[in-house]
Amino acid sequence: MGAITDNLPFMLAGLWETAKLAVLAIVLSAVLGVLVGAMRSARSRLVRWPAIGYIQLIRSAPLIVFILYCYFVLSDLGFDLTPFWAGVVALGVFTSAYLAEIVHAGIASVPRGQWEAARACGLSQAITMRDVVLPQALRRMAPALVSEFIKLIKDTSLVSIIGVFEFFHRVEVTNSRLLTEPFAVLGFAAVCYFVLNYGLSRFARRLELRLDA
Amino acid sequence: MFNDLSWSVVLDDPGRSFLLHGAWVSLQLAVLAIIGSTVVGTLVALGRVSTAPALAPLRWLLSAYVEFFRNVPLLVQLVFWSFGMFSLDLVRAAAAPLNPVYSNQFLAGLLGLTIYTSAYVAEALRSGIQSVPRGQLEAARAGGLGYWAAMRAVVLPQAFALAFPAIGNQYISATKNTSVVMAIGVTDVVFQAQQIESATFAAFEAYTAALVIFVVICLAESALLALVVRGMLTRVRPGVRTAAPTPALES
Repeated sequence: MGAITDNLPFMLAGLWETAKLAVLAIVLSAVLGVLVGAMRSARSRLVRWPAIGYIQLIRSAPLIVFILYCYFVLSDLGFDLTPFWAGVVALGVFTSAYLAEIVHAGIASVPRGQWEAARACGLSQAITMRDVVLPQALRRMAPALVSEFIKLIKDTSLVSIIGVFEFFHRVEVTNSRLLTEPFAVLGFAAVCYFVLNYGLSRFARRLELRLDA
Repeated sequence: MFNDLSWSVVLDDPGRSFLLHGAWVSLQLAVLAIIGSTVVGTLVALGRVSTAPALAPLRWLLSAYVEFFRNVPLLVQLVFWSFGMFSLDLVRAAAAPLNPVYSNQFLAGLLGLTIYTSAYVAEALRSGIQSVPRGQLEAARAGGLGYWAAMRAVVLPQAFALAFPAIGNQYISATKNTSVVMAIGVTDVVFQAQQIESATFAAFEAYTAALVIFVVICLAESALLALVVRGMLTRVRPGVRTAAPTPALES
């Protein structure tokens, strides 16, 4: 137990870093995901095909390769990102491709009549999407979105490989400094992630129940 | 940087043989983890759909298993198996006979990946079992089959066919997730790409090569899975069609 209590402030400081990483990446992925998902649902091929390409390309890559790509290749291209921001970009862009598919499915689930009625009232295509279709679609997608965000929180642990000093990186440092207490230290990390993610998934389930009612 | 690309670092030796060796390691890891997680996941799903009152503690335990392994990051689990379990003399001794073929890191990675994936496979299969109409089991029991015989011969084949698109997505995720084992020192494709990158500074070439290898493996896998789904469905329910797994639905 001493192994955990002695290093608690050091490890918990990383939890704050993880939270910042997760929140920024969620915001980025939500913006990009809704945008690409709306493009994916557009009728014009010129708009739809780039969105399909974006989604398929990103979804066929393992996240770890994507993180290394963002970090090393972006810096070669002249974008000098710190590991933290490279991590935010990698997690945000990666998750946005999965969100876009969910948004697309949500938009497809809104009855066609909603579109036609809004258009018949004189709303433009973009306004119909923003004010009529998307709000309804977003409500239906809420549970799927939350489970995608839980995945993102789990994935923040992977950016430790490019040197972001987040929660799990600090846990690993603690573990290799002590060397004798792997079960206590790693168990502590597992419990922290479990409480966070399981709590969120319970919340998502309640949301689901309320929407069904 | 795009003016002076040097693809020779990945297309010629030694880079090429590094990557091919890594691809072979990743492929073995993916195939073994898929087989292992299917076996474990099936057992867990069967336990979770059991109805005997005496098995209630088992059901609780299995749902804890599924929730725990799905909510803790794979990296944390892998580090736990490799630096926790594989630091015990007992475990190292038990793994020793396999060491001429597989390193302890590989075995820890395989164990972690198998258990992680099995939780997802169990959930997919459980919903497949639950979507087989209850009457199927009842008819089989009324026809004289025991519970397990009815499960094995009647319910499971249909459940697998119904759940296979979802399970197939988990297989593809598992294949992509093999890349996480590089963090515990397994010499997979990404590990080798990183070696090439740190020796030559050709980040774009090295990681693009790793990416291409993964894309090829995943596309081949999803084509194969689509064939399996079609075969399963026509065998169990002629005429029914379900969507084939698309590559990489889950990360």
